[in-house]
Order: sequence, then C-alpha cells, then structure tokens
Amino acid sequence: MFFFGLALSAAVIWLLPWWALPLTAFLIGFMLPYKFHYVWSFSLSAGLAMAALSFVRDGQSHGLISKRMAGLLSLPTPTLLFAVIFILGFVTAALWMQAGLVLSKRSAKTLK
Amino acid sequence: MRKWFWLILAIGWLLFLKLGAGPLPGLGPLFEVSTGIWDHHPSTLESRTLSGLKDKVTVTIDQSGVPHIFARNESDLYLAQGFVMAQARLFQMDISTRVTAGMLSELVGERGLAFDEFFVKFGMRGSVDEMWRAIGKKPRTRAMLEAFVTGVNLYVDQLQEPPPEYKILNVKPQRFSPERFVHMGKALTFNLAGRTFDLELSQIAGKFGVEHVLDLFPQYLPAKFEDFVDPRPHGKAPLAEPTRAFQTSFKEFPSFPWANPGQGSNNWAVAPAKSASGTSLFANDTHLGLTLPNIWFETQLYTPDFNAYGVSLAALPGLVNGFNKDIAWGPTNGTTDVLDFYEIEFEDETSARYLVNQQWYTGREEKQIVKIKGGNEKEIVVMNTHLGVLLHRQGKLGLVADWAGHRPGNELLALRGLLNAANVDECLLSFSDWRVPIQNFLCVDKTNIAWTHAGFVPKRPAGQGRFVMDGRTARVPLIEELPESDRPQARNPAQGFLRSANEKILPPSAGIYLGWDYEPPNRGQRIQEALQAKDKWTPEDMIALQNDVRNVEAMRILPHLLRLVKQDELTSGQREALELLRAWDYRVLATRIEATLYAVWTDKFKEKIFGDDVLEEGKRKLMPRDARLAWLLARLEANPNDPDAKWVDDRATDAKETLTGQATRALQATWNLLIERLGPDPKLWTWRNWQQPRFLHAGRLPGFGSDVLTVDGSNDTVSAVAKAHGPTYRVVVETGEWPKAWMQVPGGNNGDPFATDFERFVTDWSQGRMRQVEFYRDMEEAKKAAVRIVEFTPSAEVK
Repeated sequence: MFFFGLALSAAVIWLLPWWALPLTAFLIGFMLPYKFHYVWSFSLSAGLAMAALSFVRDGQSHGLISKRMAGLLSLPTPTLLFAVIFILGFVTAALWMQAGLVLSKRSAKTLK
Repeated sequence: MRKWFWLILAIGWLLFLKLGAGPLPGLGPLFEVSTGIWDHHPSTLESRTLSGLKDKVTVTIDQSGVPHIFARNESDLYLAQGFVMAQARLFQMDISTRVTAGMLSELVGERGLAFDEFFVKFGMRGSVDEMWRAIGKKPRTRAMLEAFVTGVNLYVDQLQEPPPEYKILNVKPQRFSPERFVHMGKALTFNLAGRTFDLELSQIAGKFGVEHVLDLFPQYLPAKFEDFVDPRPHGKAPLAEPTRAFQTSFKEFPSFPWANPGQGSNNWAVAPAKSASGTSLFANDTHLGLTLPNIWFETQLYTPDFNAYGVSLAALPGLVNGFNKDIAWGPTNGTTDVLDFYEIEFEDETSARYLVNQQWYTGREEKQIVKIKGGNEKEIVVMNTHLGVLLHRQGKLGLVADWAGHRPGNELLALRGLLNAANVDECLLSFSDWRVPIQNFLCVDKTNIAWTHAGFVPKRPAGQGRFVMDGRTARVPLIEELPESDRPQARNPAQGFLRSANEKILPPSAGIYLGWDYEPPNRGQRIQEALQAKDKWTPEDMIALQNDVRNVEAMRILPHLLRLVKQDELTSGQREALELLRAWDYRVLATRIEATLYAVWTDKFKEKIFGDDVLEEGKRKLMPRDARLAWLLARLEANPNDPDAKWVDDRATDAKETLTGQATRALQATWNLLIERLGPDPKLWTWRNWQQPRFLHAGRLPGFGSDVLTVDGSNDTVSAVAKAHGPTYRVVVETGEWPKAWMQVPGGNNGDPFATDFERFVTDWSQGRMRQVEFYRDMEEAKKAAVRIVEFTPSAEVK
C-alpha cells in the first residue's frame, strides 16, 4: 500500500490541482476494505510525496522560496516548512481516506 | 454519527486549505506543486511589440541590472519606462499606490483598514481628484503620466504569471488608473510633509502652560547646539514666539501618524575651488524606510532632448534624483511645517454647520466606500470645511486639518525640467513648479553650486502652527506663501560648499519664522565640520563622509553623564561599562556595545528628567530633543542653581531628586533593561543586537525582507541607519567633461522576492561600498556594454 500510495499520490500531486489529492484519498478509501493500516500507509506516502516534490521544486529557486515561505509562516528554518507540508499532505489524505472508508462501510450496510 | 463526523471534519479541513484562517493564506492552492508558489519563473524583459509606441525603443540592461532606455520621443520613453518598471516592481507599485487611495484593505484585508480609514478621512481621495483635474489642464504633465500608465497596463495585460506576492494574497493584478500614480506622489508627500506635533504640544500646554512648552521645545537653542542649512549672513532681529496661545477645549485627540525617527536625508555640494578635480562635486543620500524592493528604481533615460541618469520612485515616470551631462541634483526633506490644526464649533453635535467669524458655513459631507478583501465594505463619511478636512468630533467641537499637501502642484513637471537643465540657473528655475513636499534641493553644474528650499513655504507670524488654533476666528487664506524675495536659497557661498540634513533652515538673525520642529543638528554639524576641515575634496572623500558614523550629540552629552554618575552606587560590571564609555571614540559601530550603552542611558536619563513634564499620548510620549538635554546639562554644570534645575525633580515623588542621582539611577535602569532584552552577558549588547537593522518587505510580508544586518551608524550619524530606516540611496557625482557617478541602491532593481538578486547590493550597502554607474553617451555605447538588449517596437496598427 505504501509504495502504491507513493506512486499514485506523487502522480496526482505533480499533475493535478491540489484538491485532487483529497479526492483520490476519498475514492481509495471508498473502494478499499476498511483496514486502519491502509489509511496510515497511504497518508504517510501522500505526505512524503508532497514534501519531496516541493523540495525538488524549491531546488530550482536555490532554496529561496522555502526560505521566504518559512519566514511567512513564522517557522525558524526552511526545513520545518517541508515538515509542515508533509503534515498537510498526511492530514489531508488521512481525513479524506477515512471519510471514504466510513462512508463506504455505511453504503455497504445500507445496501444490505 | 461517527461517519458524518469524519466527512464534516474532512470538509472543514478542505475549506481551511482553500481559504486559510486569519492571516494564514489558503495553503492548499499556495503549496500546489504544479501551479502554486513553487511554480516560479523569473520574469525577464523580452523584445516585443507595444501598442501605443510611435517608434522603436531600445532598452539595454547593464551588469548591475539597470535598464538604459533609449527612445526617439518622450511619450515612448515614459511608456517604455512604465513597462520596464512594472516588469520589475509590479506588486510594490500596486501596494504603494493603494496606501493613500484607501485601497489597501482590498488587497490585504482587515489589517489594511486602519490605514484606509485614516487616509480617506484625511481627504486624500478628494485631494488626488483635485490634483488630477489640475493635471488635466497641464498637457505636458498629463501626457507624461498617461504614457507611463499605458506602459504599466500593457505589462499587466500580457502578464501570464503574477508575482508571488499575489499568489500569497490570492488576488490577481488589476489594471491601474492614472490617479493611482498621483496617489503614489501623495503617499510620499504625506510621509515627508505630514510631520506634526501640534496635538501633543497643545495637550502639554493645556496642562502646564505655553511657556513650559516653549522652554522644553524651544524654537532656537544657543548657537553651539544648533545648525542651519542657510549659510548666508543675516542681520535682522530674531522673532520671539508669543507666550500665550489658544487653549483648545478638546479633552482627547485622535491619533495621528508620527514621522519616523531617522527619516531624512543628507546632501552636500562642493564648489570647484574646494574640489581636487577643479569641478563641482555632489553627494546625496535619502533616508527612508528600508524596504525590499527598494523604494527607488535606478535607470538611464535618453531621448534626443535629454540624457539623464538617476532614480525614480518605483511608481512614477522620469527621475526624482539624478544627474545629466551638465548638472546633478538631489533633495533632502525640508521639514518646514505645512500641517496645521483648527478647532471649530458646530451648531450642534450632529450638524454640518459651523461658525467662523460670526458667519455660518456648512461642511460638505461625502460618503466614501472602502472595499475589504472578501467582499465586505466600510462606509466612511468625509467632511470638508473651508478651513480643512474634519478629523475628529467631540460634542459640538470639530478638529480640522489644513495641509498644504492637499493643494495641487506640478512636481512632475519640475522633475521633467531637470532632465535637460543645462546649468544651475535652469535647475533652480525648474523648482518654480514644485509645491510639496518642501525639499532642500541642491543643484550643481561644473562651475556652480546652489541650494533652494523648494516648494510652498508658508509665511507665518512667529509661533503660528505650533498648537491647535482657533478656527472660530480664522481668516482665509489660512496661510500665505513666503514672497520669492524671502525664499531661503543660496548660491556659490564663500565657504565653498552647501549642505543640508533636515536641520533648521534659517538662523534667528533671518527674522523669518518657518516653524520649530526640524531634525536634530547632529548630522548637519558633522558634515559642516568635515567639509570645513579639508581643502581639496575627491569623490572618495565624499563617499567616506557618507559613511561617517561619529555621533556628535554623544560628544556633547556623554561627558556630562560620566562626570555626574556616582561610582560607589554601581556594580563592578556597571563600572566596567563606564570605563568603556570613557574610552569611546564616539563612533557607532555595530559590533561594539558603547553605542548601545550610550543610547539607552540617554533615553533613560531623559525620561527621568523630562518624563513627568510631558504628557503620554497612548504609548508614545513626545520628549524634548537630545540637544535640549545637552543644553540643560551644560547650564546646570556651569550653575547648579540655573532655572533649568526645575526639570530635574520628579513631580511624582516627595523626595527632591538631584542630577547625579538621576544619572546614576538611569544607568542602573539601563543595565536592567539590557539584561532583560539581550541577556546578562554584556558582550551581547552590541549595537547590531540592540538596533537590529533590516530591510522589511514592501508589503510587510514576514520572511520577505532581509536578515538582520551588521551595519554601523544610527539616527544621529551621517550614515543614518536606524532599525528600519536608513540611506535607501546614495550617490556621489563628479561633474566634468563627462560626469562620473558612484551609486548604491540596496536591493537593486529586481523586485522578485524569489530571485537570487532580490537582496542585491544589500551587503555592499551595509559595508559602505559604492559602484561606479554606467552612464552612456548614446545607444551604441550602451549596446556594447549591455548584458541584454531588448527592443520594443510599435504594433502595426499604430505604426
């Protein structure tokens, strides 16, 4: 799940608008059987993909963008900015996948 | 229920990512990898067609990033200048032209509302409308501005990717109206000519009397403590201020922005007789807010009619400060008082009718709308009376402000005249169109130097405008202009130089009252002393003087304090600090602690001496100047029973305080404050750590300015570096067959905060280094030295 999630979320984050990540997480959650470690793995991979891709893009600006944005968010170092981005990706994927999972469970019950 | 909980939580999180919260922008779109903040492409000038051009324009970029614009006519020049400037500085241009227009909230939300409300209420919109109507009658100025705005809007129209600040604020750049650029001029005018302490002085006079105010805030001190721009001898009797004044009935005043300490400038000119090259030398440095991008934009402007180099405000056509092949010019703020307040009385608490000289007048009310980001609006009622704009009401009383800055001038035309002025006479003549802000302009040509106090200089009886005045008996016109024959100006003085540093203009012997409040004499005195001391000046000497960091005021005050303090009441650390101060050479060095000790000790001492004799206005207290303190110390040392002894005692205590006791307690308080702020190790109390000078972002975005800089100097030194103010531009010009110039514009021209050269020259600036500018004789010469050449061609339909 982790590597599948990493590949999928990297592709989604790189190619599609920002709201595509929660949508993807929701759909995966909706489709997969309810297992907590799925949520954990996919969210972890989404957070890592988002932080890593941001880091790559930042390199093109010689690290100036992360320096300025860290200042904007009152973070003491640019490194912490990537930690924040990781958390954003992680929480977004986790919340929407969880929402998909619980709704899917509800739908299944309703169908029965 | 649990299921809905997760869905609601997820939707809430999504909304937070989209919309942000409080000052936090929407982080979802902002950190989107493909199109968010990471997707940044540095903007570069490209050759292209520009509709509106009449002919081809060539722009060469030199290795310092300075554009040299070569056009065949003026209209094309300003259009190209607008395009080039917008390409480099669009966001700065946008935000700086919004300040006085009451449009900040539209861009930055609620945090801009206080500014918007103040400037709308102060009548800036009406003032700009009036100025724009006046410009309409002056075809040359209007054409200049319209061509510039066309260039800016052409850039906005073709913009693919907005500057990053727009992404952070989640707004799109809009086209500009010409009035927005008139607002830019008004913003700078208010910054320089909106200085006033009338309200505070009225409050102090209300509690303690007018004589108390005149004693603490005198029009003139003895000569040793004063400095004047005017070098001419005068022989008239001094004008004494009246010791009685109108007593306002206001219990409270609205808060009015204070001038930033350290805001000012230096300029000086050396005549050929005192110059090593035998031609005139000129130096200028403007002390404004230290921002990135810099407030100035450096450029060379060339048409068949003129060839000039210098800096313009990053939202105005032409040049403000600069030089051409024949002359050099540059200002310091004149500081002369042009803002007065009147108390008027309305018919009742809500009426617009007010009584002046037994006659009823009706104020003209207008409803103005301030738009706030997100769709909200705020209505503000602006009332204009024939005495000024209403700022505040209290019962039947109204406080109106009469500001000369509201009167339309033609400053752009004055600046245009400088571009092709051939000598000092033509330079001075250009300023006949200048009204506000009053400036001390210096002009030099190869053989002459001249100074003029340019603008609408009020003719005042002594003391007028120091306090809030009685509008019930006011006569219109409220203030008249000083006759041209009395205008402060000088030309080729015998001393061989001219200089100004925002200090008082005229000595008492001139017999003319211009106001009481100017910058302290320190910088001017130091420049005077240096210019007198040397016979033959070189550009290198001029640069060295611009970087001078000797504190003249400290030389007057500190020896007294050192003699007064009681050693036996001090700790060993405090005594060691005194030893450091005894050995101090009065240079304000960033890595040393002497300047910190002196500055804090003086402030604490002044607070102990004068703190109970002035009123607190909110968190700000108007204190007597350091020069007044120096005079008090000199008087009391010569005679302990001098009348100035009355200031030493603290009214709040029963005990009788002494000067030595106050000096000792002030040093102890200094020690405690420094421990509290910078820690117990005195080695950390360096001037850099205390003052923490840095460049802030023009839009005040945290993290978008510079780091704290290690830079020598303070408000009181020629190199006037304060916390967030300082020399935003330095230039030295050597006139001659072809002028040579050395310049420093910290931040450079590039306004892109993600570009590697956004902080260009900041390090050079902090170390006092200048670079020789490339001033080309013609386009061919510029092309040979260019790192980039851009051609703007007219579009087919116009051609």
